[in-house]
Amino acid sequence: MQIELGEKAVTSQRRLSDRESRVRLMKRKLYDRIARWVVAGGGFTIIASILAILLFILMEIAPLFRPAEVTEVNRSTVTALFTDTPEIGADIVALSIDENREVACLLSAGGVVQFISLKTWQLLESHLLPEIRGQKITSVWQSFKSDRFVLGTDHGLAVQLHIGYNARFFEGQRSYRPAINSGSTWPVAPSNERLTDVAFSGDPEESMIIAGISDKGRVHIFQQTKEASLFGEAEVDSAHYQLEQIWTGKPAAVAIDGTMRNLYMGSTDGKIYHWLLSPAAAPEFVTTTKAVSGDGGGITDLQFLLGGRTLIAADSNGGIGAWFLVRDSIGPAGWRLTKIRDLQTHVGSVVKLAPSARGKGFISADADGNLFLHHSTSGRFLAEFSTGAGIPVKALSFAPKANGALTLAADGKLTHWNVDNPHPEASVKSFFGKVWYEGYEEPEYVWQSTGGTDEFEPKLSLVPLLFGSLKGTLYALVIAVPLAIFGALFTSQFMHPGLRNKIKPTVEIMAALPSVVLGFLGGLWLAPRIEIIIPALLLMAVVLPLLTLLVSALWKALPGRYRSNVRPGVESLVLVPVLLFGIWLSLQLNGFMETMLFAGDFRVWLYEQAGMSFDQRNALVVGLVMGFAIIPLIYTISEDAFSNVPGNLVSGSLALGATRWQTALKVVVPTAAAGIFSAVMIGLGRAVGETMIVLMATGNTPIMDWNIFNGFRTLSANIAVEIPEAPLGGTLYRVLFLAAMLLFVITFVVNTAAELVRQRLRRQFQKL
Amino acid sequence: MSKRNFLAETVNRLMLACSLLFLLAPAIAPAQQKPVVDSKIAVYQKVSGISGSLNSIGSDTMNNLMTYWGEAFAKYYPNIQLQVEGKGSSTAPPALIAGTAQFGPMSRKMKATEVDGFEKAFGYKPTALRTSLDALAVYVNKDNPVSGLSLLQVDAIFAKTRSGGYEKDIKAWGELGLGGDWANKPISLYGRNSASGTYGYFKKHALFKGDYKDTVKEQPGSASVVQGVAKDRYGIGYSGIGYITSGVRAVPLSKKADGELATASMENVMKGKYPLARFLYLYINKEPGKPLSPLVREFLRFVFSKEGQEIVVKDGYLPLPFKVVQEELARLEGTN
Repeated sequence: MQIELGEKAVTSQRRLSDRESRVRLMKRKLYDRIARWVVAGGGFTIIASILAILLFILMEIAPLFRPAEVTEVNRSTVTALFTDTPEIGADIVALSIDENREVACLLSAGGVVQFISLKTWQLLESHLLPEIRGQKITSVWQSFKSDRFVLGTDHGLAVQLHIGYNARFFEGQRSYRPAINSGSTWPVAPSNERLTDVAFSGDPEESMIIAGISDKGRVHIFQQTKEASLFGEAEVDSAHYQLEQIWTGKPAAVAIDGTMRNLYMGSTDGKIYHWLLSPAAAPEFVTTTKAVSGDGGGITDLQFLLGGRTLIAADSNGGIGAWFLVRDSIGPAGWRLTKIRDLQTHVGSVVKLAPSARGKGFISADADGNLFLHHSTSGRFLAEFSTGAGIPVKALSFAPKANGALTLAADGKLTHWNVDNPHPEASVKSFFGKVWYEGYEEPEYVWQSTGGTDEFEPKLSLVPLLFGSLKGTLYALVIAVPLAIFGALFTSQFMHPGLRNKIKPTVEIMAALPSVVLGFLGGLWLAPRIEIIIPALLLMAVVLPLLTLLVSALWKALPGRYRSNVRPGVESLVLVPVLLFGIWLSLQLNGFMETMLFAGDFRVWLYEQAGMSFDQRNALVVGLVMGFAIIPLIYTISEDAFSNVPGNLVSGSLALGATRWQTALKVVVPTAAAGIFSAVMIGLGRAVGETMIVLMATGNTPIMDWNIFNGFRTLSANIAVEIPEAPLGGTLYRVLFLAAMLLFVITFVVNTAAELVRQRLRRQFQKL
Repeated sequence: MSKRNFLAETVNRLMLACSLLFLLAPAIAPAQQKPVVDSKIAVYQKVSGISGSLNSIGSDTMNNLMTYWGEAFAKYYPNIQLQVEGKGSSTAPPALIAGTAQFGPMSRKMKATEVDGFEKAFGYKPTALRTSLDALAVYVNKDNPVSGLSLLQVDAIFAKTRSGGYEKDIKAWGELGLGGDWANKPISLYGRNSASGTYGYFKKHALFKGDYKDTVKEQPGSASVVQGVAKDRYGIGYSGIGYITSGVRAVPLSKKADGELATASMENVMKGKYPLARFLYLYINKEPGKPLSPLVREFLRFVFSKEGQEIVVKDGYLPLPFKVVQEELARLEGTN
């Protein structure tokens, strides 16, 4: 038949004219070419898309590592601004900028408050503070947003000042009606003492503390507490203390923390003194610490960063250190002031510090006119700018949105700077290194990206997330790999073909279950059950293999006539009821086991004996569920690999007298090694990137602990959890992209390594 | 556990799982008597010519509240549709900035950085309206005998930083004075995900701005926190009072270490005795000097009406005092 048909075809072909055949050939070539273009085009599109995604991710990440940029917007001089009143211009003591950086406020020692436009450098309004009359402002404390001031005078008085810029909108245009609000004065020191530094903490309407250093080398403290009753009447209590002169050198700077419980004083011989404050009692001296490295340096300024916890100490040697209280069981106060890190050192003496009102950044200025922009958490030195070489900085203000600054140099040059610093908290160290965060006892890897307040210090370590991804993957592989590979080996080598044809599609159907369903089942159905039957699970690990061995031995002992009734490759079905019995037995013994081994309660036993906590949604649940999800993948690929081992090899081995088990282990497995390896790797890739299962079946706790009864948080679940709250273009947003990049790199490396190994193994066994 | 029991248990759990699917099922009101809406608050007056669709993206705590308001509002104006999405307060600012929602319900105030983002896009600040009061409750399992907690203890339970100043970490129920079989049971912590305003508020006020322990299980919604505690005998968690169920108990709290314990009742919130009372906000984009669109304005008027505030009570939260309602209505009409 076949030959006849062939002949017919040949004759019909011969009948075609030359032209027709040429057309046919051309058509064929054309189709061929189109097909080639489509295939190649498809391939290139895929590569291009992957590269484009990679490029996009890289573009989102890149700004994280870009340094900050500080550029000059415009400048003027106080002589140009105050042509009529040069004496005011000559003794400006403090600066402030409004949050839109359109209006600035200059405060002179004589108590004149001048509002100027930063666009035109024109004087807008001028006020005289009545409380200052006849005095001079000798020291200034200003709030983070530079809108609240406490002014220390040469008559020992502290004066409260509030600046309001009052931006208004009309027809889409912004206009300002600046206003000042002063009035409260507090006698901090006797009127014959000049206050050389003041510090403030609290709220003038409620409780507050003012500390002042006088030119006589004394430190005064003024405390005021208001107890508001239900009917709106307030009871005012005030107290005045003068600190005992226990210091060496002279007091140079004071600072009070946000809790109003700790007072720090820096001295000219480079020490920081710490007192505990309390509303009802006199200050209590705690300890003193040497804060300046090198000899002869003294503290020049102490400032708290936003949140009132991190103390920045600047010294005359140019050093800048970040300090905060660390829990200390030995110390008298339970806390110890500890130097957390050193920041970029100035060459000259540091004269001023200006903390940011957005996060843990600050600007430091030195006597040579150099200004540095720092970030405390990341320890980053972000930018450097200068008001003019050799001329000291006299006054400095960080804009309320931390996007600009205003500086006044000793030569009267007033400069408005633009600060472009979108991601100060990002650094390789803050993502991958241990960082010592405020209030922590030691440097740690922590992921806690968001807080409810502005002063929250974001903790952006990716290490706990990487750890979580590894932990989840590992537990899933531990469960899935042996089951899937041995299952595949059994089905391909020992099982009856009829049975195999049913088993394989069944396992593959498992892969069709959406992971969100698996996660839901794992988290809500499986986790509470697993919690009760942990002892039974442990028992199963012993009982099931034992029962299997027992039944196999019994089967062997069975007389041949019974055994020959069962088709070879189907006998394993005998195990099904046996295993079910084993599971049932273990479950029945659960309570007994728990009482015998775990003193009646596994969770308590674990906590008391091993110090491990037990979470309902833990790595065991994820391992089981994610293992379930990747079993079909590993199973199918390795089953294919086993089945593709050439039949002549297997037959040859069997013919030479090897048993089926020997053949499987010595011939089939090595030959299929490349396939098994890639199966495991593909399973691993799936497990690393799996999101929904880990999202729903773990508590998403970013802990670093291999404990199988604890949860974890993976890179992928973290992206899913946090991307809705991440503001577009913000640091968190970009860090989440960095996490995505990491995932990409991990899977890329794993897949490439897998492919290389697979190719090598294949070449090795091709000779067979 | 006998077989029959196991079956009953399975059915029970299945039903619980189902009820989780229907998160919108109204929460069972606390046992104490319901707060009453101030009679001075005016009844809503219908106006004509209102139609269109509204979107709300933000707080999960206010999810039910927004939905109820939307449903009741639609009874006046059948052509109105309100879509409510509640994944957490932190999702509100991005949605308002992108213009995908007219309403951003938030259970905390916007942070300065969030306000910055909004101001950058529109040139003016967003408007925050106080819509109702919530007593953020600390829940324990209904079987838990603990009589009350001070905020310092709450801090030591949930935080690793202990900024409140409690002397030692609290890990087991025995450390809170519970005896019997509770003494050596470890405390299992439930909390909200970081997008949640409740997470932020609790961190600021109960943890004294400290940091959560890493072992706090972060749940995507208030209902899952309550459900987690209801199913975990040794659990403790926090959520708005509107989510209370019969499986959990709201623990009375005190501000100071040995202060007077206060339950999360209307009376205690009003008197300032309950330490975790807060406003629930609705953020809107209102250009200064320009009136709101009629649709948005009417919805907000409805929220601040007698009916709107009765819905607040129905959902388990606390209604506004008349004075606050007046202030907020004035801001709606005002040109600032």
